[in-house]
Amino acid sequence: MGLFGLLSVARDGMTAQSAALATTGANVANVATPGYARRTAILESATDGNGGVRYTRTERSFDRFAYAHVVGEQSKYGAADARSSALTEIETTLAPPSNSIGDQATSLIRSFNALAGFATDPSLREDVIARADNLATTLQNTRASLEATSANILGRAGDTVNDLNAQLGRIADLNRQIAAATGVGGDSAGLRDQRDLAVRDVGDRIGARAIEDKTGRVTLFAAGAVLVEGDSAKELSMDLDTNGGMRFFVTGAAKTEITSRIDGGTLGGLREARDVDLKKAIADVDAYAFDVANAFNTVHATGFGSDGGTGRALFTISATQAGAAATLTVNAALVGHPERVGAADSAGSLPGGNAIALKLANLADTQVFGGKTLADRFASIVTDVGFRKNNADAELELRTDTLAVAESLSDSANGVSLDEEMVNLSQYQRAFEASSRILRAADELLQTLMESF
Amino acid sequence: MRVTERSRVGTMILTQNRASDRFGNAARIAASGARVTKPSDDPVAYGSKVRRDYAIAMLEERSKIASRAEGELTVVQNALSEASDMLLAVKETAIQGASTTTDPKARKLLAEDVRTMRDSLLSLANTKYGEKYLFGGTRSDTLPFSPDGTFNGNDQVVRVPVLEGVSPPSNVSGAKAFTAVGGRDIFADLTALADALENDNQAAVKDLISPLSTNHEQVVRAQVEAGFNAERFRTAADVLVSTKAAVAERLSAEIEGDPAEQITELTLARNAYERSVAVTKQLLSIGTGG
Repeated sequence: MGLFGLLSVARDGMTAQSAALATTGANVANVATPGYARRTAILESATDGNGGVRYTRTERSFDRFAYAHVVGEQSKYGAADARSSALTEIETTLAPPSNSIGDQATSLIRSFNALAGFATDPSLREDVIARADNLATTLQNTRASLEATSANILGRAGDTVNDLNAQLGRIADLNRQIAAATGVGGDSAGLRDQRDLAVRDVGDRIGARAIEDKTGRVTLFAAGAVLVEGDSAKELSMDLDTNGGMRFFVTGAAKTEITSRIDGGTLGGLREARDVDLKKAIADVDAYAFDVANAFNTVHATGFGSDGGTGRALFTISATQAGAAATLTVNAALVGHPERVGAADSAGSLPGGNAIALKLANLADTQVFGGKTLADRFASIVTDVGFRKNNADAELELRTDTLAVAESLSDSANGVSLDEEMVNLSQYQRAFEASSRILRAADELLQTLMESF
Repeated sequence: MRVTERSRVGTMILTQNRASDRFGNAARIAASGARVTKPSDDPVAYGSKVRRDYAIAMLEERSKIASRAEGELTVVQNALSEASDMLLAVKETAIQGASTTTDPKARKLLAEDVRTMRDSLLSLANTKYGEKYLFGGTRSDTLPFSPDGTFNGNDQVVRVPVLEGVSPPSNVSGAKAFTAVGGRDIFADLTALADALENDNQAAVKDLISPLSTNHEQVVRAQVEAGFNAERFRTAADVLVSTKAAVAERLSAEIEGDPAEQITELTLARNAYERSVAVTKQLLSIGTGG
């Protein structure tokens, strides 16, 4: 190799190290960029016989398996987070710090006890009506709050579907751009970063699996359906079935229902929270209202008011259990008429007779509320929601950890390490300086040679 | 394994969140003293709390009822005590009237005394507590005894709930205390005595001394019954108060937990949080300083 060959080696070295330094610079600049996968400058020995170096390309370091694991864990985390959040609302509605359904039922029983003690006291009769009204109102409000939570979840699911459709369209668009860039040998790494981030976002919302083809496009599977194929995306939609449960569809050439396959991501969590947990809570409140109203009505109807009347119900409630809490009110005939509260067991024992008030006072301790006592019945409702919330929180904690591990593994493979980049920076900088020194040495040798003539 | 900036920051955030969450929980529990404030804190303990809150509310209510019933029975007892004293006085008057040394004029005066005492006794038998006549049975809104001594009430017992399955009577039968249902019609006997004294019928007055003793015993029986039931309510109220304290103590042990443990956990959580902040600061300084 002659002196001019040495000049070429120095030039190629400087060019290659510059490219490598640019790659390191990009890595450092994107150290905190979401979705960015580190780049590596690929340097090769030159094949021109001079023994120099050649920059060939910049490679996007990407471990597909580690990434797929993150997408899968993100889906489980999304489901756990959505469910836990919804259950917080359900729990707070059913078991507020004060004035819960159970507290109001206890107050009603207290008022019957007081009336049983002193049946002639008109203020105690008024108290019974006021307490019964409080219980009915609290049951109505609790059910309305649960329905509002249901509507909120439905709204959130609708927003999630809209976001998903936007992301699916974006992934299809990025697929097209990536294929185009790859086709002309361009750099598609930035586009892939954005697309993989969008795929992860879809995973968070519905659970997803992406398979890349030779052109760089991904086919996106979710909920047992293909949502993105090549440059085209399908559309998700939702509505309610006859029972009010959420239904999900994929619309491509045909409209296909995928509801039963939605078990992951935010949508899966929202679906379980609304159509399983919340549905159960509403049914429990309805059953409680129905059983409590009927149990009190049965006994109260046998009582005689101090006006001599009998056969009156304490509450008005629907004939069926479904929706009972929403219809529960104090019997309108009793409102403003405390004398109509049935405390005595016969007209002959009026006005001081208290046998029925005594029965009503003792009713709470009998197992006439769906086979349980009054306190047990409410305890079973809140215990159930407590266990659900507890399980959801435990699941969320587990998924937070497993997602963190998956992210750590993925970052370990795909992320930027500043330590590494600093070493690379020094290495490429020194290599550049050395190449520059060789250039200068070759130049000096040439000058010496020229001066010798 | 390669350690990247994202995984380092992710771990910092996760650890920081955990430490912060633990510290927040420990602070909430230590400040409120309540380990269980919502069902998910401990579903089983929360279920117990619901049952015990109900039990405490019932004990509180029944304790109030027992105290009020005891108060009513104390009024009954006092009325009957006065009636008993009055009947003794009537008996002494009868003995005086039956004496051979008492002249007709004196007997007329004694008859007046007896009529006055009969009116007072009638007034005691019509004692009211608030708007409620105490000796009318469940007909507590009607004057139990007419001026002629006719009983307008009934003989029904009003039972008041104090303990589970225990409902002692909160009234004393006016019929048993003052009418033939209890043995003798006291007002009729007093009327007969006054008439006998008025008519200077020494023999009739003498014959009424024994029934007057029965009258006295009849009222004393009712007084004893009122006292006995008042005592039952007093005892029940005491039992209810101590039971409530015991239930509340058990509840607080289950719900509130051990304060020493809570303070220890707060200290540990605070230390963990401070350590986490210190480590985060160091890691961040390495990241930016490198």
